[in-house]
Amino acid sequence: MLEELCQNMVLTSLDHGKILRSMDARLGALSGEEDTQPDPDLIAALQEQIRQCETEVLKCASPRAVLRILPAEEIQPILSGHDICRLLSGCTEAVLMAVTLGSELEKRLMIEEVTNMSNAYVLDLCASQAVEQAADDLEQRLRVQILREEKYLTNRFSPGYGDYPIQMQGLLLDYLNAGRAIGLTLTPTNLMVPRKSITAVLGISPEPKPDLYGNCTHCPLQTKCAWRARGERCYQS
Amino acid sequence: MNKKQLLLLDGAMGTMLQKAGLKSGEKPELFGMEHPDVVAGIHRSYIEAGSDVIYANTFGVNSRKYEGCPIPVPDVIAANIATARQAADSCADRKVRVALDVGPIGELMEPLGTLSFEEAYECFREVVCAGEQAGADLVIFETMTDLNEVRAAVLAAKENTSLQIWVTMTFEKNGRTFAGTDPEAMALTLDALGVDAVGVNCSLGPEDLQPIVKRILTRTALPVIVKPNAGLPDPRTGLYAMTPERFAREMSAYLPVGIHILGGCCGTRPSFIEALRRMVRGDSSAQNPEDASACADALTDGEADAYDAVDRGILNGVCSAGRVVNLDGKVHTIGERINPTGKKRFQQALRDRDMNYIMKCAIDQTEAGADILDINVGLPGADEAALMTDVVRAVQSVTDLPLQIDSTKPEVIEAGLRAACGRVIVNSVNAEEETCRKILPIVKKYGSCVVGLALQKSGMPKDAAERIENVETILKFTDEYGIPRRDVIIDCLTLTISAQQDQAMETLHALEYVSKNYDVHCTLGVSNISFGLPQRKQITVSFLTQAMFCGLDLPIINPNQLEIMDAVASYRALSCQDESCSAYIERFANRQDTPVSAPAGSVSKAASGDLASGANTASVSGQAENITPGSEASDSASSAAHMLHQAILRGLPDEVRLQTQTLLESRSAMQIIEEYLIPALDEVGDRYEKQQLFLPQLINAANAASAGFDLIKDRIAKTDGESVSRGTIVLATVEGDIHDIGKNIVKVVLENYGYTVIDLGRDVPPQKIRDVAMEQNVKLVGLSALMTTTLPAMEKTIQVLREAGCTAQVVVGGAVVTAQYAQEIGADFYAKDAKETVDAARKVFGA
Repeated sequence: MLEELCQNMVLTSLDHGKILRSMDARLGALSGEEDTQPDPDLIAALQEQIRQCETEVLKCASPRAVLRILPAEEIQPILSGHDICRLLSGCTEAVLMAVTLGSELEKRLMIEEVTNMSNAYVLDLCASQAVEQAADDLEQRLRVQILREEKYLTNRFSPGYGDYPIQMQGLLLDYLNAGRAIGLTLTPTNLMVPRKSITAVLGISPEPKPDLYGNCTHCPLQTKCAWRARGERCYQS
Repeated sequence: MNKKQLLLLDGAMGTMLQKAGLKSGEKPELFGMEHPDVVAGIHRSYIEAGSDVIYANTFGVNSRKYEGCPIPVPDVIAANIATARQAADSCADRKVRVALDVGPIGELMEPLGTLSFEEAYECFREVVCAGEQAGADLVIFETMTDLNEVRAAVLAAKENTSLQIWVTMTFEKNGRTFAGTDPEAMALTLDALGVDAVGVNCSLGPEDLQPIVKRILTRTALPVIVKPNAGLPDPRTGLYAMTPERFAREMSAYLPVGIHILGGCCGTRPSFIEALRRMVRGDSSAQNPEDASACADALTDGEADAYDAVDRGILNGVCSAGRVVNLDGKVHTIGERINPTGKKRFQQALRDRDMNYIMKCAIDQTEAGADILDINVGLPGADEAALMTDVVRAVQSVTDLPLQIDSTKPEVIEAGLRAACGRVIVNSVNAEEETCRKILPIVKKYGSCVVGLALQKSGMPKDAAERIENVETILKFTDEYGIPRRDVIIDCLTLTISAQQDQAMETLHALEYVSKNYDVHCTLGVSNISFGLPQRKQITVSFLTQAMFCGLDLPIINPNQLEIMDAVASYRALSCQDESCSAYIERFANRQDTPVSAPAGSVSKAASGDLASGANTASVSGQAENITPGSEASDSASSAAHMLHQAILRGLPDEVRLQTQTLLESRSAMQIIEEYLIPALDEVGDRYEKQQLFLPQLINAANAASAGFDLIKDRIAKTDGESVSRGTIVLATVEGDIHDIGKNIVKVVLENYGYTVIDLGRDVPPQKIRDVAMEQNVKLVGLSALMTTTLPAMEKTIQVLREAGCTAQVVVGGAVVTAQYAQEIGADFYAKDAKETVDAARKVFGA
C-alpha cells in the first residue's frame, strides 16, 4: 500500500495564490488598503514571472516519497517532547513520511541565483510551494486509504514544530532509509539536502482526533509573523 | 583463479541481519561485533551457495556516521573483516575473497550539501586503511549516487592502499543516480581513474537494469559488476516477490554481453546466489570466451589494456557527472572565456575571489552552446593552485559542461584534476622533454586527455614540417607514458596574421597532416589569428572554417560570438556531422536577419508601463528586451539621465547600460553613481517600503542598476582609476546553514548601492569570517541564518569576532532572527530585509 502511494508522486500545477501571499508577507499591498495598492500591470508582471518559474520548477522537480508505518509498541524512539506524544496518544500506529523534490531542482536554483536574483527568489518560493503540495497530496491520498480501513489519520507533524526537536530529523530519515530510498540526507546541523524536502510524523487512530496543531502554537516564526500581525493565518488560504 | 571463471558475489546482508534480530536504528556493524556468529553464519551460507567474493559487514562504518560512538571506526572494521575472513578462509574447495564494503558517507557533498571533498577523502582514507590492515582482499564502494564522492573514495583508496578497487553506483529507472550521475559519465571517469571494476547495484531488478548496464558497456573495457535487487518490491506489501529462479533467468541475459561479476542486492538471499550458480554452470556456453578472458585478465592484472577499448568499439569522451562529450572526430567547441589574460575585470574577479563573476562567465558560455569549458587562472603572484580548485568547483556548481584545465604548472594542473568531477582535458604540454616528464605522469594518474602544443623551448616553429616534428616528439612521450593516442589532442599553433602572415597556411598544412596521419584529435586557439586587425570576426570565422575542414575537431573559441558558433553549426551541417541538418535548422529556423538600423518606435511593452517592467524582465532566461529611445532626443545628457532613472525603475539592464555609457561621456563615474544610480534605487526602495513594489521588482531594479555599476567598474579597471566602492562588507550565511537565498538577495541589493561585497557563501565557519573581516579590515559584517538550529552559530561568530578584537560592526538577519535576539547576541544592527541592510550600511559608512 505504502509503496503504491509513493510511486504516484506527480505535480501538475502550483497554487499561485499561496505563492503570491508568501511573496514577502507584506500583503497590505494586495488587500487593497489605503493608497498602497500597486498598479495592476505590476501584479500582472509578477504573475507572469510566477507562471514562468512554476514551469521551470515543474520541469526540474522529481518528487519522491517514502513512507513507513510503525506499530504503537515501536514508536518510543521517535518520541521526544510533549507535542508529539499528544499527537500520537491513542494511536495504534504512526506513519513516518519523507518527501523531496530532488537535486536537479537544487542545481537549477543555484544557477538562477547567479544569473537573476529576482527569478531565483520567485523560483525558490515556487519550489517551497511545490514540496508543500507534494506532501499535502501524499498525505491526502494516505488519508483516503486509511479511511477505507475505517481508521483516521491525524494531521502532519514535523521536527521543528512545537517542542519536537529538529534533531529528530536524523532518526526519522534513518527509519525511512531515506538516503537510499529517495536520496534525502542531512547535514551535521540537521538540515535536509536537497533543501526542498519535508519529513513528518502522522498518527493512525481508531477514532477521529481533533486537529491539535493546525494553528500557530507550534510555529517558530509566531513572534515575528507578518500574517499574524495582520490577524491573518498562513494556513488559511 | 581460472581466467574464464565467472565471479559470483553475495546477496543482501541487511535483510538477513534484520531477520536475525537487528533492530530499527541499530547499527548493523555494531550488531556484527556483538554477534559475530550470526554474521559468520550469513557469510557461510552465501559461500555455500556459491559466492566467490563476500562483502564484509562494513557498509555503514565511517567516522561521520559513527560520531559519538565509543568504539573507534578501525576497530569496528577490523572485527567485521575478521568475521568475514574467517568464513572465507574456512571454505575448503576454492578461494573466497573478502571485500571491504563501503557505502556512501551519508551526507551530501558540496555544492548541494556541506561535506567537502577533503573531508570525504579523509573519511574514506580511515576506512580503507583499516580495511586493508584487517586483511580485506579488495574494496567495493557500492550504492553510491554522487560521482564526486566516488572520486574522493577512489583517490583515498588508490593513494593510501594497494587494494583492488571496485565501484558500483545506484541508478534510478530514469537512468541517473539521485545526484544526477550518468552511467556513461561514471564509466568514463572511473575507467580513467584506474579502478579495477565498475558496475551497478540496488534500485532495480536484473531486467530493468539492462539499459543502464548497456550504456556502461559502451564506455569501458573494465569488468562490469551487476548486483541487482530481487525485482521491485510489491507496491502493496513492500516485499520482494521475485523467485530465485526468475532472478537467475533474468541475470542470464548478462552473460552473452560479457558481464562476469554477478550478485544480488536488496531482497536476495543465499537461495538467489545458489540459483545464479546453477544458471552459470548450466549455461557456460553462453559466455563469450574472448570477453571472459579480457575480463579475467583485467581483474588479475589490475588494469585493462587501453588499446583493447578501441578494438571493441568503445566510445571515447570527456565528461562531468551529468554530461558526456564524445571525442568522436566531430567538431566540439571549447569555450575560452574563463581566462584572465588581457582582461582586467576578470583579473580583478580572481583577485577578489569573486566567484559569481566567474560563474556567470561559465553560464553564459553554456547557454551560448559551448561543449567544453577551458579554465585558466594564470594570475601573477596569486596562489594559482588554490584558485584553480575554487574556480573549478564554482564553475561545476552551475554548469555540467566537461572542463579543460589550462595551465603549464604541474601543481595547478593537479589541483584542477583533483577538483574537477568527471574526465577532463589537460591543456597543455609541449615538445620539451622536461615539461612532458613533469606533466604526463599527472595526466596518466587521473586518466585525462592532454593537449600537446607543437612547440619547443627554442621558439615558434617556422613551418608545417617543424610543427610535425614537434608532434612526433610529443607522441613519443605520450606513448612512453602509456597515454593512448585517442586521448591526445594536438595544437598546431595559431599565429597572428598581422604579424606573421605566412604562418596561417603553415598551421593549416600541419593540422591537415596531423589529423590524417596520427590517431589524435586537434585543437587550435582560433581567435588569435585576427589579433590587431579590424573586423576580427571576418578573419576568425574564415580561418576557423578552413581549419575545421583540415581536421580541427576541438576548436577553442569565444562561444559568445554568434558568428563563430554559426560557423561551427554550418560546418557541422556541411560535413554531415549534424544529421539531417537538424541542429542547424533548430538554430536558424527563427533567426531574423538583423536590420541595418533599429526600426522606429520599437519601444518595448514595458516602456509604456509606469513601473518596473512587464513580463520581459520576468523571463527566466533573464533576457530583457532593450528599449530604444523614442521620440525624445537621446544624445543629450539630461535626457540620458532621465532615461537611466526610468530604466532602473523598470528593471531594464540593457537600457541602463546604454544610458550610463552616454552619461560617462560628460559625467564622472562618481557623479553618475551619486546623482543618478543611487537616487533611482532609493526611489525603488521607498516604493517597496510603501508596499507598492514586491521584492522581485526591487531585485530587478537593483540588477538593472548593477549593469550601470559594472560598466563603470569596467571603465575604471581599464583606466586603473580609483575605486568607486562606497565601502566593503563581508557577508556570510553562518556555519551549518545552507539556506542562503536571503543573503544573496541582500548581496545583490548592497552591490547595487555601490558597496563592495565579499561573499563568503554559506556554511561559513566563524574563524573564516573573522580572518577575512580582519585581513580586509572591513567595517561591516553581515550574517544570515535561516533556521533555529543554526542561530547559535550566529552568536558564536559574533563572539569569535569580538574576542579577536575585530572592530567591524555586525548586522544580522534571517527568517527566525528577531531584533531582540540580535541585541542579545551582541549584533550592532538587526535588518529585517535587504533594504534595512542598506540602511545599516549607510549608518556605518556614512551617506
